[in-house]
Parts: sequence; structure tokens; C-alpha cells
Amino acid sequence: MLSLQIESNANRDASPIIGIDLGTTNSLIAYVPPSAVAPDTERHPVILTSREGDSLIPSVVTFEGDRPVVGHAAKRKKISGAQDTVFSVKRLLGRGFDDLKGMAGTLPYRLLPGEGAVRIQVGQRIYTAVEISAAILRELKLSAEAALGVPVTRAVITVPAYFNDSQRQATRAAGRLAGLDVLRIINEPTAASLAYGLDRKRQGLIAVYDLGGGTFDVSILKLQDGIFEVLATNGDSMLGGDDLDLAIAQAAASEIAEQTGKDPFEDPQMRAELLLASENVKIALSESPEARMSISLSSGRIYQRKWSRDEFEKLALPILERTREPCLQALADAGLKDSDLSDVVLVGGPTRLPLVQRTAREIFGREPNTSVHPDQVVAAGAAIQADILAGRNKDFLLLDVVPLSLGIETYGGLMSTLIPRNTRIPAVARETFTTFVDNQTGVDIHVLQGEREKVADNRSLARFKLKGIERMPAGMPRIEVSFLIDADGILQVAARDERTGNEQSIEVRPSYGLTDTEVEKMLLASLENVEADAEFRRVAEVKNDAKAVLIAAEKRIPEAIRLLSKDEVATIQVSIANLKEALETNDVPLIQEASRNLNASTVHLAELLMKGVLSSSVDEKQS
Amino acid sequence: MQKGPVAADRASQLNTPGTCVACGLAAQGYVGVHVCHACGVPQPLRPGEDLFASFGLEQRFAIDSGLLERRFYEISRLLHPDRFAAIGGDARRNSTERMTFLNDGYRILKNAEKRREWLLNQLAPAASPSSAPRPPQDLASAWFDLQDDANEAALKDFETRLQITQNQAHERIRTLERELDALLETGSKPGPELLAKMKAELLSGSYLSSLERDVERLKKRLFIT
Repeated sequence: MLSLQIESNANRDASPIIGIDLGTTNSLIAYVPPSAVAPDTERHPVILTSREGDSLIPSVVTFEGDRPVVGHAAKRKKISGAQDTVFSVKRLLGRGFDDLKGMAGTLPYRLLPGEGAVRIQVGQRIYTAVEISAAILRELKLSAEAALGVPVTRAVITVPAYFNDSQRQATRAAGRLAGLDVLRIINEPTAASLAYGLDRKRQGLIAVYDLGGGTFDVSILKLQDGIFEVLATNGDSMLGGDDLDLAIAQAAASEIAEQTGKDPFEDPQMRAELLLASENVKIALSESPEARMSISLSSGRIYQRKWSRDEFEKLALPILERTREPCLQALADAGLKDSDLSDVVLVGGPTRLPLVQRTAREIFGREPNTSVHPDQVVAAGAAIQADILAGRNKDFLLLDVVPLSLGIETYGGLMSTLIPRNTRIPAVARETFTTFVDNQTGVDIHVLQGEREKVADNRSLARFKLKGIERMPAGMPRIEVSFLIDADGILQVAARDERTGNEQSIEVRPSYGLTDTEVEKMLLASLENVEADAEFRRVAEVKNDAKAVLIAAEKRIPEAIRLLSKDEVATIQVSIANLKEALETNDVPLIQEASRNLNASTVHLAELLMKGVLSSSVDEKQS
Repeated sequence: MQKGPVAADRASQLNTPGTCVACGLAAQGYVGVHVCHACGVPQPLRPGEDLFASFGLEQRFAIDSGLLERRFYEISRLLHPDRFAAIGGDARRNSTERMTFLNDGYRILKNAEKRREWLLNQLAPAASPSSAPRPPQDLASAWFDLQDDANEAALKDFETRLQITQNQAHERIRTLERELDALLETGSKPGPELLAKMKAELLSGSYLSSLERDVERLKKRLFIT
């Protein structure tokens, strides 16, 4: 179905839209050429190779100084540069530190605690997951440009179906930061179905079982004459092949700890080595019944172990069992029984494992289809969707749904759902709410995403306030809240006071995603502008110091008037004005100079104040 | 935060009903209401469009769900905003608004209960339910007894009775639907008593469904946690 053929010049497209599978472990790019590669064939997606000449581009970023290096070159540094090499960053996208507490100890690189989007420390620099993802996307963009011979500025990027809005927005932001206009974020299993359905004979109800490096998705679709209707989707955005590696690594680590008395997981480099060796064991076991693991310990000793498939499967089974519930829920949501399905399609590298295939067979009660290329099918599908959006493919159409319910907070900390999960998009929903307290003049609209009853168990997407409600007894005002989701999955929420017609609306930009302004800021200080970035930071530091001097001086003005001569006070006031003016600029020497002058003009005041403190304490003693 | 878009602002953009907003040709068939057959331009959504007519269907309580699906696919194929992603502007906006309406309509018409509710509201927006039939009195008192003294046997017994009552209610609704559809088929407007009777059945039906949910909750509380 797919070939690695590069475009011929005759088939050149001035402004191509590429499909990107931004994976946890590997990323891929694909593209549908405007005309068929060979005469009398159909236009099919082609997988574009990286600048390193490979179709699989490891989603790994390491740093040479401040310069990001992406792909195989970065993956090779996973052990030697363990602390500076970021992998599986997709699992961090759109999440806060608190969401990731469990993971922090299993990664060789450092996550910083704090509010908002989680931050990653590499050497002296701190990055967000969006910035790291942007570095990967930029590499993919450059590879596509090299392969196609034209600038590439537009893309369709896939995400796990079960990604929430924060994670989707973070992906979009990463695309923008990489210089890509992200025309659409589409779900991985849906993308896979587009590529699977390229063969028109494949019709009917299918389940896509997509186990990736870090996420698990299941989608139920109806395929009919080029229409791809998503009936239901479910999953677990914290379950993937990485967890299988981790299970092996932890088992080996506890054996090493027993033998040496030292937990190898405490050492970041050992941790990276164990994880990599475990990944290799897992991959080897999908082909052969046995695999060897060999790790050189810091003591110089070598830890060696043979893994049988049985042993591995005992560790993996409880993890894979977690895919069962989402599958059954998706079937139930679609109103189907497993026997209604005409095919179960396996997607994602880990589905090469015999145990994963057995698990899928057992859940759905049928032999799964392993004929699609588990690594390439998602990128190929993204390219097909790009082709549809370019207006070139009028035969195919994807009818997608929202993966998670959307609603608002109501009294008692409960979520009231306006758009239930699996609603077809674009969609609209309106509901009328009222006040709970007498004479309430404003209501907080707290937009939520998730399936749980309690607000605290769901994801907070945005908050805004509708003000200017007339004073009335509780329950009297009528406030209409409307949710609008367009075909891009972007949510617009509005609240309207039916009596006054007063309305407030917001385009939802979740707190863990990034606002446009933030992205603009990051664009300024992006990875390509390392020098400008360092300069920016220096300016910020100098400004902060100067502001502290300014605030301290301003606070002392009343005392200065009481204690100093008129001239001295005037000098201080002029110095304050000068510093304020300097702070309007980014001129570091000017700010430092003005700050020094202000300091100098307040020396006498500081002395007097100090003396005052001393004499008053002396007075107290004497009295 | 900003002032949200108001649909009425675009009223000025509306064309003469039944003609294409772009080329002015007369709309053809149920697809033409959504997208012009000649120039392919999506048409702005008008307030109060009929859900059934959107799919080229007659207003009936019983519909051919296979036909509904085929029509939904047929229209979506031409109307979906993805078809206008490269064009943008009014075409994209109108297609989004219309597709939103179509998605919602499909959701309602596909589901027998929601379809019934919507059609009834169309036929008799103001009618109030007739007083009979109420949820059976003995069922209500049995529910109160059950809450005082919940045990597995009593709960099972209650569930069986609820199921029988629901089946009977469902049968009555189906009969009413057939009666109403027969009237609609001849082009005559159903009388108010018939509609009021249907409304009462729906009310009682929603009472029974909420009772069913209460039973589920009680079961969870008693025997699972």
C-alpha cells in the first residue's frame, strides 16, 4: 500500500500539506502527491524519509550546547547523555507536574515541580513539553522540505483519540512553534482507519485497537463508500509500550538491587540504560521466544539475564488487561456487540507482540487484522486527511466525534454535561442555568472536560465570568450557556443573560495548553534564537533587580520628605523618574546606570533611617 | 473574552428562500436545501428549518433508519466543512453552521425517543398532557416500601414489576404512534386529545426511566460498595 518513493519533479506541489504522526517513540511524515506516482495507479500516501534517510524518526531530542538534535543522533545519546536527552515527551504534553508525579521517578531527565505546564530541565535551560515537541516537529518539517523540494508550512497532526483538550492545544502550539500551520488535529485510530479504508473493499463496522508507545486508543467506525463515521472512541492516555519496558526494567532493577544492594533506578544513566535494554528485550521477544539482557553496572560488574517470553508475558498481562475496559465501553457506546464487527485492526508498534494480539483477540472474540503496517498507517491516514482538506479528495470524508464529554460546573462542585462524549462534530449545545444566591450579579462559567460527576475529577479547561446580572431572588435569572465545537474541534463557550441580552464568550484555551501570546513569546525566544533568548533572559534579570530598587525607594518617599532637604528629595525623585524611563527600554547598561544613580541618591536617607532605628531603640532602653 | 457572534447579524446575508445564495438558481430536492446542486455552495441556515425535511423525509413517528443514514451520508459528503477548508470564508462558516444542524438532526431522528419528543413538540407545542395514565399507584408505593426495607428479593421483585409496566407503556406508545402516523399519512392534522394522550405517555415514560435509574443506584449502594 505504501511506498518510500520520493516525489518526481513532474509531480511537484507548490504548497503541500503533510500528514504527521507525532509519536511517543517515533514520528513519521507522509504526503499524498497531487497525481498518481505511476500511470494507471491511484493516488496513495507516500511515507517521506528523514534527513537521516529513515522513515521512522525517533521522537528523541538531545542538546549540543543549546542546539537541539532530533532523531537517531539523539537516540544514540540516550545513555551517555541521559540527563540531557528527552524522550517520550508526548506523555508530558498538556500536563502539569501533579499529573505526572508517578512518572517523574522513572525518567532519566528532570521534571520540575510547579504550577501550570510541566517543565523539563536540561543542563542550565528549562523547556516546556511544547518546546521539545516543537523541536521534533521542526525536524520533521525540514525532512519533508528536503524530500519534497519545496517549503512546507501546513500540516495535519495526529494525536491519541483520548487526548483531552489541553493535550490537543499543546500539540497545536508545538506545531505553530515549529513554523507549521496545523490545519487539523486528528485522532490516531481514525487516521489509521482512513489508510485501512483506502482499499474500498474494506467496508462495514471496524474496531481500531491502537497501542502506541505511550497511549492506548480504541475507536469503533463505520466505513461505507468513502464515509468514515466514528461511532465511539475510548482509551487510556497513560498506557502504552513504555509501560511494558518499564515493567521489565523494574523487575531487572530489583534483581540488581538485591545483588548489589544499590537501586540502579536512582542513577539517571543506569535508568536510561535499563529502559533501553528492556525495550530491546521486548522487541526481540515479539519475534523469538527468548531474549538476552546485558547491562554493565557502575561497579564494573555485568548484570546478565535471559528473558523468556513467558516471563515477560507474566509482567505484561496486567498492563494489557487495562485495554479491555476501554474496548468494552467503546462497543457499548456504539451500541454494538463484538459480533457486529467485520474487522479488528491493530495499530502501533507494540501490537507486533503476540501477547497483544492474543489480548485483542480475546476482547473482541475474533482474529485481529495484522495486515496494515502498524508504524506507518497513522501517518498515511494523516496525509489522506490533509489531501481531503486540500480539496483534492472528494471521495473520502471523515465524520468525527468528541472523545470526552464537555460541560460546566454547577452548584455543589458537580459537572453538568452539555456535549456528551462521542457527539458528532461540528456540534452545538445550549442549556439554561440560573443563580443559587439571592441578588447574585455575576456567575462564574467553569468549562470542564471529562466523564466524572465531581468537578475535581475532571479537567478544567477555562473559566470566565458573566457580570451585570440584575439583582433578583435566587433561581430567577435565566442564563443560557452555549457550547460550539467546529470541525477542528475548537470549542467556543458563550453565556448570555436572557433578560438583558448581555453576553460573554470565550474560545477555550486551557490552562495547560498555551495561549497565543505565550506561543508568540516562545516564537521570539524559540530554540533557533538561542542568543536572543539568552539576551532576553539577561534583560529580564536586570529589569527585575532594578524594579526591586525602584519599589524600595518609592516606599521611603514619605520618610525622605520628613528627614531630607528639599534638594535631596528632588534628586531622589528625578532618579526614580529616570529609572522608570530606563525600564521602558531593553537597554541593559542604561537600566543599570539609572539603578545605580537611584541607589546613590538614597544613601543619605538610608543612613538617617538606620540611625533613627538605633536611636529609638536606645531611647526605649533609657526610658 | 469578547462579545460573541450573534446569528442575527448575518440575517442581511440571507437570500430569497429556495434560491442559491451564490448563483441564484432554484434549490433542488432535499440536498439542494443544504448545498446548491449547480455551484456547490453551502446555503445559510434559516431559523426553524424542519428536521425531517432536511433529510427529505415526511414527518412520521416511524422512519426507515437505513434511509435516514444514507441521506445523512449523502448530504454530509457535499456539506461537511472539510469540503470547504481550502476555501474558507462564508462557505466554510455556512457549512459549519448547517453541518452542526444536520448532526443534531441526525442524532434526534436516529433515536426513537428523541424523535417522538421532537415531532410531538412540532405537532402540538402548547398541548398539555392529559391526566391519564399516571404511573401505577402500586408501583410508586412499592418503591417507598423498598426504600424503607431494601433486600435483594424485594428489589428483584420490584425490578420485574417495573419491567412489565415499562413494556406495557411502550406497547401503548407504539399503538399511539401508528395511529398518529396513519393520520399524518392522509395529510390530516391529529386531534388534540390524541396528542395530549401521547404527551401523558411520554411523561409517564420518563417517570419510569428515572425510577429505573434510581433502582440501579440503589442496587449499587446496597450490593456492590
